[in-house]
Amino acid sequence: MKRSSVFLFGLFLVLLNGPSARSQGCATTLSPHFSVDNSVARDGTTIYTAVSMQGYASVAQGPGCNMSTATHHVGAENKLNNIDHWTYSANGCPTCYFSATNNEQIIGVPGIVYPWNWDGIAICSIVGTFSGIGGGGSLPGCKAPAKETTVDVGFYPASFRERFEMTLSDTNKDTFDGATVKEVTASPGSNTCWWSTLGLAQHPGVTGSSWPIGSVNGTPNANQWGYDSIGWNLVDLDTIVQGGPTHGITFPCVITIHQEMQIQCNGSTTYTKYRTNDITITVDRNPNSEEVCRDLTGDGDCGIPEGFAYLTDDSGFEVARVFSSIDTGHRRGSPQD
Amino acid sequence: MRRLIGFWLLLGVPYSLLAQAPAKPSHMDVGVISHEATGGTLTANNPRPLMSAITAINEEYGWTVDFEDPPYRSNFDLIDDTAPQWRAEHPNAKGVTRVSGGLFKSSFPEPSTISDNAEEQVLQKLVSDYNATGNPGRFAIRKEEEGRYAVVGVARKDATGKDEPVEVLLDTPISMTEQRRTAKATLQAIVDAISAKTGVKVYLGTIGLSSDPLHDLELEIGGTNVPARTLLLQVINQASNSQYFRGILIWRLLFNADDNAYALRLNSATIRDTDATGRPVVRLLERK
Repeated sequence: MKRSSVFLFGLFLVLLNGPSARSQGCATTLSPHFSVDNSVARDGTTIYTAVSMQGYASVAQGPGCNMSTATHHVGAENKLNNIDHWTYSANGCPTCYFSATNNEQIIGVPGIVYPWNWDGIAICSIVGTFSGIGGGGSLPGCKAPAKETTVDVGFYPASFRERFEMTLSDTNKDTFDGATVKEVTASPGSNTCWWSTLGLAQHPGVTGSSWPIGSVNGTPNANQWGYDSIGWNLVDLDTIVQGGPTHGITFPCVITIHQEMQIQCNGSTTYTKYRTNDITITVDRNPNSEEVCRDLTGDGDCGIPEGFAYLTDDSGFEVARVFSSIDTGHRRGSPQD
Repeated sequence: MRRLIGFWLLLGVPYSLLAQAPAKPSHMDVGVISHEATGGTLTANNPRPLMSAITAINEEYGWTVDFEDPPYRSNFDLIDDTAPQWRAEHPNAKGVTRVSGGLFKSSFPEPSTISDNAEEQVLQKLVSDYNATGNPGRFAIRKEEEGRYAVVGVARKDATGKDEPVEVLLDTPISMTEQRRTAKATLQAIVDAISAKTGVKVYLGTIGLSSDPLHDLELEIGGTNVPARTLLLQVINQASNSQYFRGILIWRLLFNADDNAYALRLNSATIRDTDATGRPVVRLLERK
């Protein structure tokens, strides 16, 4: 729920009607360089919205103009459930950098949808508003976790994937059992292991799985879900480490997926975002290894780097094998590290 | 005399550099579609331009179209793709090749303006336009089931540069015992059966990177002399009805000439869309 826009085009303002310019007859060009960020966070049924406006203006002053008396400031609008809120920065010089942030919150009722509009404006004391960037949307009332903790539970050789289990929580210690979480692509990822004929995505997204909350792999566990099983299989890992050098790949190479997690609202088909995680898969060669991490910028975890190699089977085909599979789960930052 | 030697050096050195280190064109992972009053225009620039175009079409209209390479072999379809630095360090090593495709453009009527079989007509137009270019491979459309198509490689260039028809690998009739297996084991059994029947090695690539859509799913699939495509579709359709995955899987069957082998990979079908706030998003297609 983050949107950022930057005005890169020039805004021509002829200040002939401005109070300070009227007596002098000057023209001045203001080029705005502002952006608006907005974000939504949830904790149980509480919805937190934030809007921030920041940036500056370039001023190309024409002959005879006197901008010394002008001041600028910015404002951030956060209109939640049709109730308008504004926060303004202090006044400053026309080329100064400004920032203003407005934070609001509301207790959401499951089933109700709340309109939300945001706006950022830049105001000149002479000509008034000269830049405006805004948008709108809607926020469903929904019980959602404030926190998701990821724990690595080890490498699973049968599918060659690192498995993670997650625990959801909020301040009110709500239960989320019975709802479903699903993954969507927050934004296209990146892949430094990629070359044009690899056959793997240059900008990887998520698979699109969903999981019931209240059990992990079929075993009941309150407010937990899983496994999220992540990683390349051995065929693709081998392709990367064997073909990478000849295609100019530098090792270790890293795949990053931006995984947005959403939770089902009130048993309906509506889902709402509660977190965006970065999944990273780091592939190295000589020795070959794959390390999978989930949500390291949050309360996340990594698996132990898993080694792999190639052998030749009875049929003459090369088959991949795992060097060792001692990884039965650990917690990054724990005494085991 | 020195001038003459210098002249030949000037001519010869760049030529040898070009032969060893081909210039890397700027490729796009996915094609781009623009919309005009007269219809859509698709631009792809990729070693496999038709696959790039099909991916763009899938994501633009939410279609489900699989893609299958022909087994490229000749220098008319393949070019050297060895990184210059690696080549300099390994002057006598074999290096690697890539499919030699590049720019491909096609114009097509907007599907919304076509009354019948819009998907098939647009795909036919794309493939027909592609087959008229000098890009590698010749392709055909297969309707696999309602709402699902495959673009399959049906010809490649031979050693003299002439089109040479090839068998479509997934049309191969295979036999496998109908028994309960995990979905991944079932897919492995399918590619193994294709390899055994045709002698062409087929590897099973990654299926879902950020999560496992097959997640311990068990299936009971098999048959005698059944086209591999039919069995593959059965796996995919059942996988889309699991507890953990409601999406649609599409496949890419790509040939690696350096390994003389295919890799079969399954990805989630997606569509480009905007969310309630107008933000562009990539939405996963779900089975209806």
